[in-house]
Order: sequence, then C-alpha cells, then structure tokens
Amino acid sequence: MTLEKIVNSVLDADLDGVEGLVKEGLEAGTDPSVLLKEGLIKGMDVVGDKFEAGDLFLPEMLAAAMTMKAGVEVLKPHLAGEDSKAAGTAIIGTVQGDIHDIGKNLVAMMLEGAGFEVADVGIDVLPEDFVKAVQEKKPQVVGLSALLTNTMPAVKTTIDALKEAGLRDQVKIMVGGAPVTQEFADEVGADGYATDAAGAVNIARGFVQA
Amino acid sequence: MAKSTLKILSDQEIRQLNEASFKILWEFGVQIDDESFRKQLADLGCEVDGKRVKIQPDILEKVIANTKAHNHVTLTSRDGIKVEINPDSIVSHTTGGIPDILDLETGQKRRPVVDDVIATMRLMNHLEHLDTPCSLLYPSDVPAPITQVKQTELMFRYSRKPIYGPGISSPGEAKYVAKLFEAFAGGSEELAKNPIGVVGVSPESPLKIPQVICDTMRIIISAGIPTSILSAPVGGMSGPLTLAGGLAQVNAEMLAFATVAYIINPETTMFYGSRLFYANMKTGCTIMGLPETGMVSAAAAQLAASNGFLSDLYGLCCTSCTFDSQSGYEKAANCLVPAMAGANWLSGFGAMASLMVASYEQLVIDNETFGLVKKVAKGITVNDDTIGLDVLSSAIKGSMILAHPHTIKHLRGGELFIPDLGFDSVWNDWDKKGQKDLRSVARERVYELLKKDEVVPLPDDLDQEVNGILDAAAAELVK
Repeated sequence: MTLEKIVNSVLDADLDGVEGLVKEGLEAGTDPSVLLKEGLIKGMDVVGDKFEAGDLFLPEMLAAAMTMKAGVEVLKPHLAGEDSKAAGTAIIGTVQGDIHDIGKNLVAMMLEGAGFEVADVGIDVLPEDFVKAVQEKKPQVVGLSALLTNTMPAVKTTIDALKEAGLRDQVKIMVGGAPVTQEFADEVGADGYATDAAGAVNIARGFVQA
Repeated sequence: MAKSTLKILSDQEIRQLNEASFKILWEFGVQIDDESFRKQLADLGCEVDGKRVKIQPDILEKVIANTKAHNHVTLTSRDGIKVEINPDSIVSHTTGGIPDILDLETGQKRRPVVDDVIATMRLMNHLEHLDTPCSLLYPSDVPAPITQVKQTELMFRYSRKPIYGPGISSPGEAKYVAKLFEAFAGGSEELAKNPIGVVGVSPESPLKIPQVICDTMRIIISAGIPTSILSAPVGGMSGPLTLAGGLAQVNAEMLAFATVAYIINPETTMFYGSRLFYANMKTGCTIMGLPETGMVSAAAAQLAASNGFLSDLYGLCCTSCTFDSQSGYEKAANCLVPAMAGANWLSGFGAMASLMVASYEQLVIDNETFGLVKKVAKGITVNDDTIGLDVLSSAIKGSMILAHPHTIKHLRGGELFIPDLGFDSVWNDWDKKGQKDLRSVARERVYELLKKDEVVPLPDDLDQEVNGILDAAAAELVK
C-alpha cells in the first residue's frame, strides 16, 4: 500500500508528502531497495513515459523528479551496493563569456532526475576551470552550454583544453544551447548534441551505458 | 505615424502592473554587481543590502521624468538619411547576429561569412520599409572576441541608413564599438548631438545586472549612444509563466536599468526593449511564434508609453522554419498586434526558425509585411474629405466614381495598400506568370536589388581610422 502511495506521490509531485511516505515504509520494515525500485523509480518511469508521449509538460516532469530526489535523500543512508550508486556522473557548465544559465540548469535538473550525480560548475566557465573540474570530479559526461553565437567558439576552446590536458578520452562531451546545431557539434568534435533537455538526458544515458 | 488603435491592457491594468513593478523594485530590489554603481545609487537614496539595491518610488518617478524628457531621437546616417523615433513613430529594424543563413543559390542552411553580412546590408539599403538595419548575421569567419566590433564596422561601412547596432555583452568589445560610433559620427561631441545608431544591452533575468553588463553600460551610456534595454525573461523559466507576471518583471527590469543609466548619463535615450518570450513547455526550447509574443509586446508598448519610454519590441518573428503559411500568420500576428498598440520600433526582419536562421528572401518578404503592418497601424482617417459625401453626390448625378478626383487623390495618397512583392491579381494572371510562390518572387527581387546597389567607399582618413580601431580591437581581444 505504501509503495503505491510512493508511486503516486512521485506522479503527483507531492514534495511535502514523499519523505513521510518513504519513512513510513522504512519503519514498516520494507526493504529500502524495494522502496527505491518499486516506489520512487517506478513512479518516475511512469512520469517519463507520460512525458515522452507528450502528456506531461516539462515543469510537471521536473517537479516529479524533484519529488523523487527528495525521497531518495531519505533512502540514501539505508541503501547499499548497486542501489546507492548514481546512474552516472556529469559536470555541466556554460562556457567562457556566456552568462546564461536556463538551459544548463534545466539539463542539470533533468540529469539529476534521471539519477545522475551532477556537478554544476556555473556560468562563464574558463576552459581551464572545466579541466580542473574534470580532474577533480572525474565525471563520465561533460555538458557544455552556449546561448550566444559569439560564445560558441568557447565550446571548441574548452574541448581543445580537455584534449591538451589529456582528459578528452576519459569523458563523453555533449553540447547544447539555442544556436548550437548537430553540424557545430561535429565540427568541434563533441560526442553528442541535443535540441532539448530530455534529449540531453537520453544522450547522457547512452554514454554511460555504452 | 502610428495611431494606438488597440488597447490590450486597460488603464487600470497598466496602473496595477506599474504598481507591481514599483513593489518589486522596492521590496525585492535588483542585484547590481558593480560596487561603485551601488554606492552612487545609495547616494541617490536607494537602500543597498549586500548586492541588492532597493529603489524607492520617488527615485523611479525622477527616472521616469528624465526618460520622458529624452523620448525622442533622430538617427542620422553617413548619407544623411534620418530616422526619427518619437512616441508617435513606428519604425523597424532587423534581427541581429543570427548564426545560420539559407544560401541564396542552393537554399541550404549554412554558416554565414563576412560576405553575407555585406550582401545583406547592401540589400537592406533598398528595402523601403526597413528603417534601421542591424547586422542580420553572425560572421563565422571573424575571430569570436571581435565579432560585435566587426559587425558594427560592416554596418556603418555598407548601410546608407542609420544602424541598429549589435547587442553588446562585453566591455572589451563595447569600448571598440563606442570608438566606431564616434569615428563614423565625426567625434564624441557630434555623436552625442547627432546619434547615428543605437546598441542593445541586456540585463539578466530575474532582476540582475552582472558586472560585465555594468561595465558595458558604463562605456556605451556615457558615450551617449542611445541604448535599447533588452530585458528577455523566458516565461516560466526566468520569470513567471503568466503574461501579467512577466510584464511586471520586465517593467521592473527596465526601470532598474534606466535608474543605473540615469546615474551614468541622464542625457542618453533609453528604449524599452522588452524581449519577454516563451518556450515550448514540453521540451523547454524557446520559440518565437506563439501569439503570446505579440500579446506581451503590445502590452509592453503600452507600459513603455506609460513610463515615458520609446518601445523597441519583437515584431516579425516566427517559429516556422520555411516560407509557409505558419511563417506568414506568426509574423503578421506578432508584428501587427504590438504595432496597433503603439509600438515605436519593431524587430524581426530577415529571421526564421525562432531567430536562429536568416534568409535573403525573408528580408524582402518582411519588407512587404512591415509595409502592410504600418498601413494597418495608421488606422483609418476620418474627416469630411475622407467621408467623401461629394463623391456620392456627384455619382448620383451621373459622374463616374472611378475617375473622380477624390478617388485619384486618395489612391495616390496611399489610402489602399499596394503590394510590391505579394501577388495582387487573379488566378489566371498567377498561372500566366508561372504559378510562382512568394519565395521564388522574393529571390528574383533579391538579385535585382543587389545588382542595383553601389558601394560608396569611405573617405581615406575615415577608412584608416576605422581600420586602426579594428586592428587595435584584434590586438587587444584576440588571444
């Protein structure tokens, strides 16, 4: 019964109720792994299917993802082994000279909703700071965002900096932003490009599953 | 001359939105990263709390009074072409810095180069309804750190009309853009007296003026270059989703920016450049063709006027990626609605695909559309002469209405819109002319107009000065 309620709490984006329901499940002795898989992840899977089908709007999806994340936080200390591992690790930032963050934040939130551990390195990020972040966090995926046509070249500069630091082959790089195109992604040697945040999540999933 | 024939907001709603904006600025304040601006604003009477500056209504009233005193500007080009912008004007400009263009020969999308910027500028010289060209394209063969400087140079070099300069977001480039403005105006004093164009500067939403923007403002506004405040929240992302919420926010961001501009140089004209827009809320991608773009632009025109600003708004914008009915209805709706609400300056010439793709043909088509929009925005002139009782009276007596002097006078006077590009006859004629669609006709026109254009070289001394500015910009900014 609690499992069904947890599924519904994710579906309804009941941020206030989800923590109590997960705690209730733990107190009732339900296996934390079951609460995660049969409750929170199951709820998010339904949300994902509805979103893919165009039945849910992006804000509804994000609210559900935030609800799931809140539930996972309660479960985390009780999870062991595979269950406690993130779906993948990523760093994401807006390139040098660009102070726009909406798209970057959206992708970060969606990745977190999909179970990724995300380090957001912010806006106007120098290539050397991306290099440092990759050295420190050792992510599987690097997301580079550019909203302005005149900051797009900084995407290439950043990728080149990762190459020079010998880190390029250790990460998969995806790029995005309103003026960015697949052709541009190919030109600068990125591994992936998406037109929207959901597409970015699919690409990142593909990277870590490959 | 525009005539406000549409009120999308009632007077009471305008009051309510202005009250909300005042409340936003007084209760939440605006984040201003520059310490010296914060200090000057504190001296003016604002309350400073960390980086947030809370602005009292009486200070806003002072800024509004100053804005009203400067809400008329005449832009003059090198060739002496004048564009007057005042509360009764309706003029146009192109979109700027689009990253892709449809190749005129192949029709395929590709990255534009300097030659495309030059060709589009030359084309714009011959578009009757385009008042102030902007560099429609982002030239991919120019080093990124100086693209805005290069675009400014190309605009001044090839445009016979006053320009709508680039949207500037870095003080490094702002310095050289300002130098170009001064060089082409004939010096700093002349620039302040007779502006030759404007530039756009964007605060960040919600309610933030980052350091780079503060530094850019300091350079541009102190040089006296008229500035469009390009406040561009995305509804539901960097501002409330509701149209009223977005408008209250944009209005607050305009007033906050104008307050900072006031302490830099109160003589510089500020334009209310609302760029409030929306996204496809299933994907998060921002799109320009929703009818709400036109609705909030119309409301922004009214809010701008209520606070003494000249408005500079989205106009001919669309989500459509081709020359189809969707492009037509999106562009017409989004331009016509603000035009009828009294917008002073409308953008969008040449843009397709939510401002991400440009085309030569679209420039020519938009010229026609804007002509039509201006005609509608003018409204209907009603007086004894236009009512034309004499015409009816003479017709009853047997004279011919078609050849009546009244008919000829008003036909010549522009009573009816005469399409210059669009088809205006019957099926048989269309068939005889080869059943051409609008894009084909527009492409032929592009070739015709480009052939007509003659480039007048710059005087040697100016040419040298301009090249020197470009070289200095490259030496300082291109690493």
